Amino acid sequence: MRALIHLALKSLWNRRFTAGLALLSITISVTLLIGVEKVRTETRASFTQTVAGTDLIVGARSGPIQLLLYSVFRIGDATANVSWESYQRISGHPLVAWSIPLSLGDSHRGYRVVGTTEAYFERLRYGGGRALALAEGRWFEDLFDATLGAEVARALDYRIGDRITLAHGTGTREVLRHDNMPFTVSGILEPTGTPVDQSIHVSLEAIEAIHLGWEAGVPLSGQEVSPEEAREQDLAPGAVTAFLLGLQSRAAVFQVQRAINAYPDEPLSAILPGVALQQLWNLVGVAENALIVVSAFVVLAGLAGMMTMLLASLAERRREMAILRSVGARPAHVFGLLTAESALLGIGGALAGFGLVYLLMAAGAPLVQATWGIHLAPSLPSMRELALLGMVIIGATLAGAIPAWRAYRMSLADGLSIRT
Amino acid sequence: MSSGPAASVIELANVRFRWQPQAPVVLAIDIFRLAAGERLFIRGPSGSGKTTLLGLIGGVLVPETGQVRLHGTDLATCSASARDRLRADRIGFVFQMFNLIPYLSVLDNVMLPCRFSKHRASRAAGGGSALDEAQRLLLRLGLGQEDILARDVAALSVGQQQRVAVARALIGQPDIVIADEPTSALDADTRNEFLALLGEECARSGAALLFVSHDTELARSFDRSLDMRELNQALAATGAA
Repeated sequence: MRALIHLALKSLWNRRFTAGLALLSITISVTLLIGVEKVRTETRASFTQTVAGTDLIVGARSGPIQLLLYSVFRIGDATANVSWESYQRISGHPLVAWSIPLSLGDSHRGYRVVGTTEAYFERLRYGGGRALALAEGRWFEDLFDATLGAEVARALDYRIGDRITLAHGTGTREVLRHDNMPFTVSGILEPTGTPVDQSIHVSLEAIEAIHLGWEAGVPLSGQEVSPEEAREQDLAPGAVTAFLLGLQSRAAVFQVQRAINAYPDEPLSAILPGVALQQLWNLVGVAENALIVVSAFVVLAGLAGMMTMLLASLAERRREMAILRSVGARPAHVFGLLTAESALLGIGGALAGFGLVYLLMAAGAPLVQATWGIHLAPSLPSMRELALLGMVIIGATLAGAIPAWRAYRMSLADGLSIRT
Repeated sequence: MSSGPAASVIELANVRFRWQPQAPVVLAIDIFRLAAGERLFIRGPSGSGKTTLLGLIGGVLVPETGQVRLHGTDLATCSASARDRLRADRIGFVFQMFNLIPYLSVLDNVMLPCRFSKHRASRAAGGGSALDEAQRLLLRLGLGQEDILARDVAALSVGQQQRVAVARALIGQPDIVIADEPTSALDADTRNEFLALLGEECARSGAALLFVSHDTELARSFDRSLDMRELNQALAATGAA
C-alpha cells in the first residue's frame, strides 16, 4: 500500500502538467461546492445573529416571513400599521422588559429610514449579545438629527454635520421628497454586520414631522410646512410599522405571543424571529438545493476531466505496467496504482478547494459585508462540509477505478511483453 | 518447494500452449530444464515462441497441458497472485530496452523488486539495508557516481540503463535472471562489456542466467545453448520459421 502511494505520487509528479490541470479542475469545482455551502450556512448564521436578541416581533396581521423581512431585514413593505395605543398597551405588559418601535416607509438614496427611539440604540442586540456603539457623534437628539448605519456613511461618504433629505417610499427612484425638511447627520454607528449598517435612524417625531401636510402618501398642494412650523406642532406618533419586544423571561414568549395574536382592538401578529427564519429557510431551501446540485455537477465535470486525463495516459503507460508486472506487481497492483493516483488527485483537489474557500472568504468578507450586510466569519468546517469533501474524494477514487480497470485488463493481456 | 542436489530452478514438461482453444498450438516443449547457477543461451528469433516461453516461466501465462515448475513449484497449482509472488521472489528480468520506470530515480528503480517481494527485500537487506545493497550493486556495475544516482533515468545512456536493469534484476538474489535481448540496443563494445558484467554478477549472486537473443555469436560465453526452433516442436509441426 505504501509502495503504491509512493509510486502514485512519483507518477503524478512525472505528469505534473496534465495532473496539475486535473487537480485544478477538481480544486475549482470543490471551491464552488464548498463555497455555496459556506455562504449558505454563513448567511443563515448572519441572519440568525441579527435577530438573536429579540424575543418577539409584532406588526399588523400578516405572514411571519413578511413581518420578519420588513421589520428586521428592511426587505419589502408593511401592509398596515400598528396604532400607537396598541403599541403603548403591549409595551406596558408586565412580562415585557423592553420594546423598540419601528416606523418605516421612507428612504434616502436607496437606504431605508427607520423612525425609532432611544431604546433602539440601548436595547438592540446582535451577534451574541453585542450592543450598538457609535463610531462618532451621538445618537439623534434633535428633531432633525439622523444617525447613520456604518455602511450608509461609508458608501455615501457622509460625515457628522452633513445635511440629507429623505424621500417618501422605499424605492431608489425618489419621486416624492421631503426636501422641505432636511436632516443633519448627528452620529455614525460602528459596523455590526446586520441591516442596521444599511439604515438611517431618526426619531418617531421626525417621521411625523416630515409627513405634516401630507394625506394618503402624497403632499397636499399649498400646505407645505416649514421645519420651524413643524417644531411648534404636536408630533406625538399616531402609529408605528412594527415593534420588537424583549421579555422578562424567555419562558413567557408563547404566553405573550398568544396574548398579542388575540389582541381584541386590532388584528396583530407576534412572531418568534427564529421560527419565522426557519420558515424563510424552508422557502429558499429549494433555490439553495438547486445551487448545491449545480455545484455537484461541476464536481462531476471535474472528476470526468481527471478520468479523461488518466485514460489518455494509459496507452503510453503500457510499458510501465509491463515493467511493474516483471518485478512482481500483480494486476491488482496496477489497478491500485491508478486508483491511488485518482484518489490522491481527489484528496489534493478537495483540500486545495477547501483552502481556497477560506482564502476567498477572508479576502471577500469586507465586500460582502458592505454590499449585502452579511457577515462571513471564518468558521471551522461543519460536518456537512466534511461529508461533501469525503464524497468528492470517494467520487474521485471511483472515477479512477474506470481507467484502473482498463489498465488492469491491459496488464493481464500484455503480461511481461513490453509494447510501445 | 524442495530443490534436490541437482536442483532445477526451471523445469518444463510436456508443455502445450495456445492463445485460444481453437487456435493452433504456438508452443510445444516436451522437456526443458535450467539448473541452479547455470548459464543458458537460447537463440530465439521473433515468432519462435520466445515471448510465450518467458510468459509461461514468469507465470503470466498458463499452459493448456503439461507442467511448468519454478523452483520446484508447479505453477499450475498456484493462484494467479501466488504465481505473481513466485515471479517476484525468484526471477529478475532484463528486457531489450526501456527497462526503467521513467518517473523513478535510479535507486528507486533498482529497489522496485523489494517493494513487491518481501523475500527479496529481506535478502537485499541482509546484514544492512536494501538501499545499501542497491548502491553496492550499482557500484559493482560501474554506476556508483553520485551524479548518476541523482540523474533522471531518461538522461542515462542506453548502456547505463541496461546496467541499472541488471542491478534491479539482481537485487535480493533471485534464483534466476532472465535476460530478453538485453544487448540488442547496445553497440559492439558496450555489448561485450555488458555481457561480461552480467555473467560475472549472476555468478557472484548464484543466479542462473537464461539469456535469449537472436544473435548466435553471443552463445560462446554461455555454459549451454539451445535453439528455440529445436526446442519448440510446434514450429517443426507447422513448418513455420
